[in-house]
Amino acid sequence: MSVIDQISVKVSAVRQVAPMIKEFSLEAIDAELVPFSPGAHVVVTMAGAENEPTYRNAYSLMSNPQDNSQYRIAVRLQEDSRGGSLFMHHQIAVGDQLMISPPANLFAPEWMAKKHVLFAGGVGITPFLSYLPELQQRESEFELHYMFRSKQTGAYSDELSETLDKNCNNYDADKGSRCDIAAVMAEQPLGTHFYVCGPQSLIDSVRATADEMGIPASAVHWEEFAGAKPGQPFVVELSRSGIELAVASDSSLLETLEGADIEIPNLCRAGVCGQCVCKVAEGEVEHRDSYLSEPEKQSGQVMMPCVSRAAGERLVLDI
Amino acid sequence: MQTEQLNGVVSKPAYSPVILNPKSRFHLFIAEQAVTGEMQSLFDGCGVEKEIAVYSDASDSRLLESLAAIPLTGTLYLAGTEPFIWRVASHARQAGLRPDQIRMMAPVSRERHLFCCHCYQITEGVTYSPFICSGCGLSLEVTDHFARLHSAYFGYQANAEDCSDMPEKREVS
Repeated sequence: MSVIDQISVKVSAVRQVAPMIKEFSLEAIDAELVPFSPGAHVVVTMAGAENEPTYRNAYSLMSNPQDNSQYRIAVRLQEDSRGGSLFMHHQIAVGDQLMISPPANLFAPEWMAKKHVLFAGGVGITPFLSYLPELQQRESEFELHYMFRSKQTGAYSDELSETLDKNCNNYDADKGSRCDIAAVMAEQPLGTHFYVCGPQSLIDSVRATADEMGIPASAVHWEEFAGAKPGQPFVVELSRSGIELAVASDSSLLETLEGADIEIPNLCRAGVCGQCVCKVAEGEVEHRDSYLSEPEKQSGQVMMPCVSRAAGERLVLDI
Repeated sequence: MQTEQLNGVVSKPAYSPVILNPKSRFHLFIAEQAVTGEMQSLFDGCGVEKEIAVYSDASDSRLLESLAAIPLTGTLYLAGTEPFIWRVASHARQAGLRPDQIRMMAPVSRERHLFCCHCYQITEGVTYSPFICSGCGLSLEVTDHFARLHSAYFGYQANAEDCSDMPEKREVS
């Protein structure tokens, strides 16, 4: 669990906004919600029934950052859900309570930019929904390129094209419409920043296109909230307490530690923020994060338990 | 831009050898007063669209125009004194360039601009510490804290408790 105080919230509305996406409105129960910055997310804790696992997933806040009467998140039902999105879709109804972390932001707009180009894939539209009110208020130049499959995703696409008019380009793959990313990127002026949120393949594609064209890497921003991917099971030993835990193939190391009531600070649960860094005493690590530098990964002395795993059968952490 | 830690002061710029950005479609080379040998050989080795120009004033209006005309895929190379290259870099960032689009060659001289925290005057041509402020006349300790906004090093009154006891004069590098 995070070391920061959690906020308890009540689900005030649930809306099916696309075949595979549900939107949840959250209202504070005993405190006031704080305003947040565009691109912020919260980690939602889903406490299941007794003997059921607790899930924690990060979701972008998609409501207007100035509106502190409620937060809204959108959850895509993942075909290979490890539990979180399934829980949100099937177990959560209006009136239910959830715990959320205070908003944290690892994907804020670069306000020095002369122009903002947003690439959204499917439910990856959510962080940009919190960008739009502020981009419009600041009269910033921007364009949104929204790629989806209307048989699964595509939430808000009609409203967006209506309100944003020519600043919004929709690409529905189920209707054969594709975004030519290279063409979009090629014609942008000096000072343009690019933002990508969506499946890994979209992030990779935008980054590779930028690199090939000679667009500075620091002008490309992306949000990876894919969550921990499964891997081989392994055993982790905690050297200070002597505790040994088995990490199942579909659980992350962080989740396993949390399951044993070991508190590790964390914000993103996706290998980006760096909060959950742990010292490694023994064992090879399969690094999967984008936080540690190459030399740090090579050293084998630190790891990010939210996404990274043991490369072998055993790992000893200095905690 | 090279801003690695040096001598424990994070803000003191460190300069590593400059190479051409192989991905860039356009290269702009700007030198102060005269093109250095290092810059000339980089320019000669550059096979794509390129321009080279010499200025004495980092805020020259033609220079600002050419910075604004750099494409998103361009790279800027700078040679000259430290205050000059950082001032041009600052204009370039205003024009929309990212730090990783700006490559600076090691300054041609070790002369510093010194910002006085008492009178806010910038004293030029500083090579040793303490140094007399051209604004208020105080003896300033020359620190390694480099302010990118002013392209100058931070200075404060040396041994303010006892001005009759000045620290020994030392060269700054």
